[in-house]
Amino acid sequence: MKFKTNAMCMGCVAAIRRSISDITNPADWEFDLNSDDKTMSYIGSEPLSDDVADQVENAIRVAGFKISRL
Amino acid sequence: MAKNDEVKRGTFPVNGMMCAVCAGVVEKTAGEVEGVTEAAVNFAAMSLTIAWNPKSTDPQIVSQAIAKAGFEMIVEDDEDDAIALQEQQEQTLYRQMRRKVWTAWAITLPLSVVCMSGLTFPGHGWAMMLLSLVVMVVCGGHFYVSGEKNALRLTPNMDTLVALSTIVSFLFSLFNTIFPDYWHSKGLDSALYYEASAMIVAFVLTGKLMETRARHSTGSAIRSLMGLQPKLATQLLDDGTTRVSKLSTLRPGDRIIVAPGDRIAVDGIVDDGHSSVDESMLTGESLPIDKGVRSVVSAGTLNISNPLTVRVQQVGRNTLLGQIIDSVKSAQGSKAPVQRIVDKVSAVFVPIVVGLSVVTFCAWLALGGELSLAVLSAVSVLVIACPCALGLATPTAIMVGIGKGAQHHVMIKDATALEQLAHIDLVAIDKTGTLTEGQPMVTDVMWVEGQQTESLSIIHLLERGSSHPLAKAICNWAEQYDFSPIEITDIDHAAGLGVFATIDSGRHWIGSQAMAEMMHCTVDSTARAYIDASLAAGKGVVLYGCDDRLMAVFALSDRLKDDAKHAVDYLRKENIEVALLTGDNRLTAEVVAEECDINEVEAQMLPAAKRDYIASRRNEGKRVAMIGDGVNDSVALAEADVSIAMGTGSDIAMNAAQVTIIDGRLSRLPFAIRLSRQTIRTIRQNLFWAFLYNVIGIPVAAGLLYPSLGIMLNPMIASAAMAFSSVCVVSNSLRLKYKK
Repeated sequence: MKFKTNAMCMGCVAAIRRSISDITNPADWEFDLNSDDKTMSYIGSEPLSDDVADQVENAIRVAGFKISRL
Repeated sequence: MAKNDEVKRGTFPVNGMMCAVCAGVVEKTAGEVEGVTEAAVNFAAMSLTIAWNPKSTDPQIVSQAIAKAGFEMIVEDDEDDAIALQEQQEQTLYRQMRRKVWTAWAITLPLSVVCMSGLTFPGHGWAMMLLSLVVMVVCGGHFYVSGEKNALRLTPNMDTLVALSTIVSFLFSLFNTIFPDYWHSKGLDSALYYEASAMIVAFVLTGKLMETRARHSTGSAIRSLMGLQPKLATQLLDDGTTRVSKLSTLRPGDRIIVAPGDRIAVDGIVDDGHSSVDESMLTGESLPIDKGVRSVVSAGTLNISNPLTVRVQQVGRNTLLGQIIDSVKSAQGSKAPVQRIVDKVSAVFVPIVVGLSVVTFCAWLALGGELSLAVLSAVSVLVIACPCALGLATPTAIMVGIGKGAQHHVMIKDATALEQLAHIDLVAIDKTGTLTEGQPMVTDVMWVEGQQTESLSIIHLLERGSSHPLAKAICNWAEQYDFSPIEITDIDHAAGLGVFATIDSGRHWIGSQAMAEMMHCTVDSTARAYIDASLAAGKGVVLYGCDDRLMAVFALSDRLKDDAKHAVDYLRKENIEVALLTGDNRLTAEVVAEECDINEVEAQMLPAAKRDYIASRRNEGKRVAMIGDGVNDSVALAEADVSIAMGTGSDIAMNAAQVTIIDGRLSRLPFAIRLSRQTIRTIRQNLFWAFLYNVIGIPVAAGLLYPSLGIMLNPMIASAAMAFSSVCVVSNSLRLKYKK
């Protein structure tokens, strides 16, 4: 599962990780700030349910970042 | 907009923002919190400024919202808010009281003019009754509550006296207003005393107002002490990054970075860096101390020149500064309230007057007098015995005394200090800034190869750019001579050692003995002896040289104030002991003590040691005055019976002290003691006049003259005597102003 974000620096990444820490393990997510879409991808071993993915997406929006599913 | 809808504003540090997007997120999150009307991030300062409606939100809620977004907004502890709130309440109380005083006088003055001039108009008794009732209830209501409480506890005080005298005069006058012909029908005379009630309330309230103002300002000592304690610190994390941390989150072992110009937030040990630190607020030492790796630094001290990394040892209340704050708090709280002269008098006076009144009543009945005559006499005694002269005695003298002090640069904030100062047995004097100028000055110079004008130019040039007090002193010294200034821009600093520059002939340097060693400078035996002698006399030494040649030796010391010896001599002549308390080393302290003949010297004292010294002398039964100028004196000031601060010192000492000598001249101290004695004498004289009036008035009121002369408290005599005693007291107080 991959998302497009507006994260620009490690500060944003740290903020996003903290904002989703109640829902999922933040270490299961990988950020690529060099990509054009500033992608955020799921790399966890457990399969990710759509429900959790929605919650993650919402939490990040609530935290004030832009996010959309790719 | 209504006042309670007012918007509050504040700026708070935010951690974790690393780019414009982070900043945007923080701004947006804060702005979306209900009740926040404005939110703006200053990315460069890593801070967030918000405006919020205190009714619907507070910074703590905003901080939680921002934490959810993954950032950290630091909101300072509530302690500050609590203190601000307390201060606000005190302010309100003070303003309320001031309003009461103005109201009381606005009503009392016309009232007493009407009464004393004997003016009458239809319904004038009722009008005066209403006016005096307003003064008593609205302005003086609390006297009756407190007066009754103290009377029940059998410890009558000023409040009891006020309550008793005003109520009795009022009720007596009220009776006469309702039944104007009652006493006449019995063949007796009576009058109205409404203005006496109002006058007493007005005067005593004025006295209380002055007291409240004094108490309020001691509270601000603690507030300004707390202002020395930074609330935030830049924490150095293990990965080398920094973040702004709240002090309460720091633990021993953490590291913080202190920028030059900042106050150190914790007690700790220098881990990295080299700088000079101004510790005068703790030790009283006027020179900045060099701090390198492994040096100990204290919270509240000021880092002057270079950044320092400090490993935390103690935080908050456990620091030296924290302990000072706690001590000042407890010293102020534990000091037994001084029993005012008036309270002492009242404790004796109230039972006697009540007793006399009862005796009068019984005597008239026993002698076969009429019941009405007995009642009138008994009440008359009560009315006449509590004249305004007694209420005027202390406040007028103290008002004049404080005014006279102010004219002579002695600001007396607390009237009790004016009463206490006369009875002082021991004066403890701080050294730096109180007995001495507080600034080092060049006292001697030794020229190794003779003085050259060129040398002056170079010395001035080298020292001009430095903020070190010794450098400033040398600069000031050089400026009193004629020399042509030269311009060289590349002056190098050797941290903690001195400065040097290359000029024509060679490398000129000026600095400490360590600097001389670094330059491989040879110090011959004459110069060596000179240096050793200066050091032994408690002076500081600065060397000037060119390459490896020593050119001059400067001896500097903190000079005694011109009038210091005179003031100490006066105290000794008055049999007042003098003790020198200082944070400085013993050698310097003893040199200064010897110069002004002080035998008792306590050196190397931390603030708490000064306090303990004063406490132990007070336990010996001595009444101790403390005079000082620094933050490090504030604890001792709070502990002493009378505290005096130098107006040239720190605000904190001034706030902690009851008396401030504005221009810092020590000769004002003898003046203040004389003033206090004169004031006390004036108060006693005033009380004498007030009592004289009673001695004459009470027998007449009791009816002693009735059997022989048929005089029964003639209102004319009563009011004439009342006016006379008041005039005596007021003019006697004013006389204080012209005494030498």
